[in-house]
Amino acid sequence: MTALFCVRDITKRFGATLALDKVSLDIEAGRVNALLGANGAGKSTLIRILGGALNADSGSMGCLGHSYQPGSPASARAHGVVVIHQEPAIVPELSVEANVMLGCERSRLGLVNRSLHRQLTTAALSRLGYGTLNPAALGGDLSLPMRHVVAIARALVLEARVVVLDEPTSALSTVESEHVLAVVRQLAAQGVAVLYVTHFLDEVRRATDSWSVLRDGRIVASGDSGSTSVEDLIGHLSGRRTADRPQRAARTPGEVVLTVTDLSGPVAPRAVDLRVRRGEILGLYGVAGSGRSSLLRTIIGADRRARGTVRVGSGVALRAGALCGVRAGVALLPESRETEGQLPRQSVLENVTVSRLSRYARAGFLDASRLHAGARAALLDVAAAHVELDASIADLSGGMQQRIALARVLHQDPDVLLLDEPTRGLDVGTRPEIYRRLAAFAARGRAVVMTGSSVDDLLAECDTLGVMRLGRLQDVRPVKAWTRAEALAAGAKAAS
Amino acid sequence: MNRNQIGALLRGPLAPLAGLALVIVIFTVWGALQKPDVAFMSGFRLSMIAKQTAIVGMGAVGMTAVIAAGGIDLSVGSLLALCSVVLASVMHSGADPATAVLAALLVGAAAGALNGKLITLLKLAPFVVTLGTMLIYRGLAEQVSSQLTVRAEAPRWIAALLEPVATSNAPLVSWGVWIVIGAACMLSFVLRRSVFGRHVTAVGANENAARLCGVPIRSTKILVYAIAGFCTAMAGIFEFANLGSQGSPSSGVGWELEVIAAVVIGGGSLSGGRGSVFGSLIGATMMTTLRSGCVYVEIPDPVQKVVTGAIILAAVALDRSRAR
Ligand SMILES: Nc1ncnc2c1ncn2[C@@H]1O[C@H](COP(=O)(O)OP(=O)(O)OP(=O)(O)O)[C@@H](O)[C@H]1O
Ligand SMILES: [Mg+2]
Repeated sequence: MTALFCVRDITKRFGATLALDKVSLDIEAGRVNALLGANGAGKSTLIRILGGALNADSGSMGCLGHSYQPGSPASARAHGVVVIHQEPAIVPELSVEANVMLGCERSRLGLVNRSLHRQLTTAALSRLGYGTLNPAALGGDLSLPMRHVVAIARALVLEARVVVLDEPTSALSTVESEHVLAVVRQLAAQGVAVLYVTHFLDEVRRATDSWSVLRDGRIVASGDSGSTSVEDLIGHLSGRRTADRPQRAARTPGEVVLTVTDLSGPVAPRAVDLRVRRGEILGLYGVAGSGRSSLLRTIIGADRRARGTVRVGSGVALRAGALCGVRAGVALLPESRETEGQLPRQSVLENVTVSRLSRYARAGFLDASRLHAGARAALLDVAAAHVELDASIADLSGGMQQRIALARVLHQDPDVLLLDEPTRGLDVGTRPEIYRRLAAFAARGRAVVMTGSSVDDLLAECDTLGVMRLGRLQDVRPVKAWTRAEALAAGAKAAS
Repeated sequence: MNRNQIGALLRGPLAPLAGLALVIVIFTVWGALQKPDVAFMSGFRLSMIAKQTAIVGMGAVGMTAVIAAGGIDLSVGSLLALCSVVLASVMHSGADPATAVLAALLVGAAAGALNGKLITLLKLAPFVVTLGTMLIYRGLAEQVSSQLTVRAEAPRWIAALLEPVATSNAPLVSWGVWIVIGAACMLSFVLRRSVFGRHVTAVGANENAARLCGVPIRSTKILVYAIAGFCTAMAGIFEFANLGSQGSPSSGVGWELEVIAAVVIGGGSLSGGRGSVFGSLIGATMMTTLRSGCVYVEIPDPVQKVVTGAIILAAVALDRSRAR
C-alpha cells in the first residue's frame, strides 16, 4: 500500500545549521503519526516545509501519488494540506462560525451564504463530537482547547487530507489535553492523515498509531505506537538512556517573602490569600481559564488589582498596578512569549541581559566583556550554553526561545520568581534539567511560584501545591498531602 | 572574508552606503555623457550637498533614536521653524547671540520632551500626538514671528556655520558638518554602549516585554523625544544660517518626512528595535545627492519627486525584506 502523503530526502540548511538532512517520511490515511524530537531537532522546520511556508533546499514530496510542491500556505491548502500551529489562528472578533469558515467562505451572488455556513459549521463540529458548541459564540471567548477544536473543524470544511499539528497540547492542562487528543483521533477516523508533534511521550501510546523521531535533522527511528515504551522513545530522542528523576535537594523554607491578602482582579483572581516562604517552590494547578495567569499578573502589577494587598519581604504593601512588583524584586515569565515574553528580532544577548543591565554599567555605559560573561553564565543556567550570543532570537527553535526567556528572568535574580508555564515547549530531556535549576535557585533563598499544566510534574517538583478553579485558590497544601486524583478533582470545572 | 559575509554586509549595515555609491555613479556617468564640460562632483555642488545634508542629517540623527524606540515624530518640521524663529527673535531683541542659541536649543529639547511626556501620559500613538504638536509648534512659530520672516544681525560664527572654513579648500569642512558628525558619533556610541541605548532598543522591540523586565519606559521615551527635539533645534540654527541669518515661520514644511525617509533608507525599522545613526546620515546624504543630481541633469521637478518617492519605497521594501 502506498502512503497518502510522502516526503523524500528533504534537506534544509540555515547558514551553518543543517536543520533537515535527507528526511523521508510516510503518512497514511486514517492514521495519526507522531513526530518526536528534542528542541531544535527540526520538527517545526519540516512542518513549515510541508505547509508551504518555507522551501526545501532539495528533496521532494508527494500527495496521493502526485508530486506536491506548495509555493505558499494557500497552495498547500488547495492541495488539502493544513497546518495548525500551537496557537491556532482564531480571530477573536469573529464568531465560531465565521472562524470555521475563514478562508473558505461560500457565497451566493457575492454575499456570504449564511445558511450554508451554519450547516457546514455544525456538521464539522459534530463530526468532531462538539455539535453542541454555539456557532455564534465569539472566537475570543473560547478557551485554548476549544480554539483547537475550531481550527480542526476548519480543516474538515476545507476537506483536508493531511492535517499537521505542531505541539497542540504544550500549553494545555492534563484534562484538556485529553479533549484535544480525542478530537485528533476523531479527525483520523474521518480518513485524514494526521502528523502530530508533541513533547509529551505518554501521548504517543494513548493517541497515535505510529511515530518517528527526528534527531539533529535526521529521522533516527520510527515504529508502531502499540509496541513502544516511553523509555524506548527517550532513548531514541537523546541517543542515550536518561537517568531517573534526580533526587530533590533538601530545602529549608525560610521567612515569608510574599504575602498576598484578599487579592481580586476585575474578573480573576477572586479573593486569593497566599503566603510563600524563601526557599519554597509553590505550584499552581488549574485548567485553562482558572485564573492562574491572572493571579501571577495581578501580583506583579501587570494586571489591574480591584482589591487586596501584595507585600514583598517585610516591606510596605505594593501600590496597585504599574508593575510595582518589578522594582520590589518580583519577576514574571509571562504566558505568551510572542506578545510580552521576548524582544523579537533582537539578539540572544539583548534578550537575556535586558532584565538587569545596570549590573554591567559604569556611569551609564556598559562593560562589553562583563556583559558577555554575564549572558553566558545565564545561558548555562538553562541548558542553552551552545547558543550563539549574537544569534537572532527569531532563528531559534521554539524550545530554545523558551529557554532564553527563562534565562532572562533568572538573570534578573528576583526575590520572588513567578513562572507561567515555565516548561512549555521544552523537550523531555530538558524539563528535569530546568526543574533542577529552579530548585537550586530556590535553595539560594528565593521563592518560586509556578503554574503548570501537568499535575504530575507539579507534584514531583514543588514543595506546595495550590489548585485554582474559577479564579479562586481552592486549596494549598504541601505536595505530600495531595493525591493526583484529589488535585485533578479540585481543579475540574463544576458540572455545568 | 568570504562571499557570504560580504553579502550579509551589503544587505545589512553597508546597504545604504551601496545605495549612495550607486546614486553618485549614475549621476557621474550620466553627466560625463551629457555634460562633459561640468563634472557632477564639482566643489560647488559638493558644498551645496554638504549644506543640505547638514540640515537633514542633524534631524535624522535625532530621529534615529525615536524610530529605534518604536516611535515617530511628525512635529520636527514645525519645531525646526519654531527654533529658528526663536533664535532670530531673541537675537533681534538685542540679546547676546550665545543666549539666543541657548534659548533655541532649550526650546527644542523642551518641545521634544513635551512630545514624549504627552505620549506616555495620554497613552496615545506617537503618530497622533506628534500630528497634534506639529500644528501646535507651527502655530507657535507663526505667533512668535508674527507670521513674518525675522531678520537678525548674527555674528559670523552663527551666520557662517554652513560655509566652508575659509582657510581650507575642502568644501565639506564647514563647522556645521563637523557638528553633525560629532553628534552622530556621540549618539551612536550612546545607543550602542549605554544602558539607556539598550533600553531604547528594548522598548522599540517589544514594549510589553521591556516593561516586565523593569525597563523605565516613560523616562526612556521622554529622553528619546527630547534628544530628537534638541537635534531639531540644531538643525533650526543651521536653517537660520542657511537663509542668511533669517528665521522663517514657514521653513521645514515637509522636512519631517525627509528626515524619516533618511532614517528608513539608513536601515531604521518603523516597527522599532532597529536604527543606525550613521546609516541615517548616509540616508540623508543620499536624499540630498539625489536632489542635487536631478537638478544637475535637469530632470524637471515633477519627475524628481517621482524618482525620490520611488527610492524611498525601494528602501522601505528592502527594510521589510530584511525584517522578514
Ligand atoms: N530562520 C532560521 N534561521 C536560522 N536557523 C534556523 C531558522 N529556523 C530554524 N533554525 C534552526 O534550525 C534548527 C531546527 O529548528 P526547529 O524550529 O525546526 O526545531 P524544533 O524541532 O521545532 O524544536 P522545538 O521542539 O524547540 O520547537 C534549530 O537549530 C534552529 O536554530
Ligand atoms: Mg518547534
